[in-house]
Amino acid sequence: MRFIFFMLFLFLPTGVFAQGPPITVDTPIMLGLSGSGVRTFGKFVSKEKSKVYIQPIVLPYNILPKVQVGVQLPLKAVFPDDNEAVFGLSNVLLFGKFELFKIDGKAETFRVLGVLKQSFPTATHVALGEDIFRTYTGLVIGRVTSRLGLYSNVGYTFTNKNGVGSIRYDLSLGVPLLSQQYPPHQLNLFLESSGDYNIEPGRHSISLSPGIQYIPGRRILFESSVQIPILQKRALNPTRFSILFGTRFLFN
Amino acid sequence: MRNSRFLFLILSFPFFLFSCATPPEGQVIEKTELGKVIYAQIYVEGLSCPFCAYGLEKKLKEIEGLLSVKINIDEGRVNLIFEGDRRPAKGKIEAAVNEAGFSARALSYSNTPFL
Repeated sequence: MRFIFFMLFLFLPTGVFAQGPPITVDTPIMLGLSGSGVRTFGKFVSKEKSKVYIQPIVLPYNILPKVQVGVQLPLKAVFPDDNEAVFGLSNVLLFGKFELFKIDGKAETFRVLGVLKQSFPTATHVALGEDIFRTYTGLVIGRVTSRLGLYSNVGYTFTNKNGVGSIRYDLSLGVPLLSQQYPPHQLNLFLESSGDYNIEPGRHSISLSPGIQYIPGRRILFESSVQIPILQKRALNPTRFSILFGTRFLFN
Repeated sequence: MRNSRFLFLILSFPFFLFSCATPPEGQVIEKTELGKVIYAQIYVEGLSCPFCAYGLEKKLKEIEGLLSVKINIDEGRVNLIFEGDRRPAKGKIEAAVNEAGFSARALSYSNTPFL
């Protein structure tokens, strides 16, 4: 019963709303000097042995036109099928992005960013996050026109506990359904794919995520997507599906 | 009890953001009665998504004397209206565009509105 109530609460806002930044993939477009905002989303993950709810709050800030730094504060709730639920802070992540390459044209751009992410073992419980430091280094590549957005992320994660890390690769295709206008009033569709290959145990997962995004004004957007696993090789607790509902807000 | 309070807090955050986000009407400096004004038009490359254009609007609004900003994404064109009869420095407008993360191209001024 508690679970049904939780799900109803989670989906209540999506009933109201049916090309902006991709949903589960990083964007190469930063907002320039002093650009700042906040992003948060609720992600519900249904696994074979548990249910997980994650609510990260992401605060990016552009310190230079080509350099962005930020922090991700993830709140997490884990509901194991055979144990007590756990709530609290998961591992905090700091990140930095640097624009390496840019070709701008009329209503289009091609950009490549270098990304560095560092997570810290700040989780208040072992179920909320591993007790390890993780470092991710990668590239964000994107070609965005007013008709189509193509985004890809590729990177490598290494940890302080074992020598071999994992490779992450994501793809996203975004299409606007309404004509481009400013101030924005947009509805965008996304088809995204995320892959993660853990080299040492040979664990490999790939998921496909259709998503929708609604932008009602200059400074706010809402987005929702469903992640469906299409490959889960050697997964310890396989995922059935994930659902995400989020918002982004730009500061004045 | 503690758990439900935690869930309430995290789920109400997006609603809090939404309530903060609705700007008052006419915040984009629309003056109905214009005195002496200068019109400027600049082409901006790399402007490919409306949500990204807010950074540009924000930077342009920092220029002194700016009364109005109109952005056309498909044309990559920004029309500006400045108060007074002095042309704002070309460098200031171009710097604002570049600092917003885009590329400034042809800038022109006029005493009458651009068609």
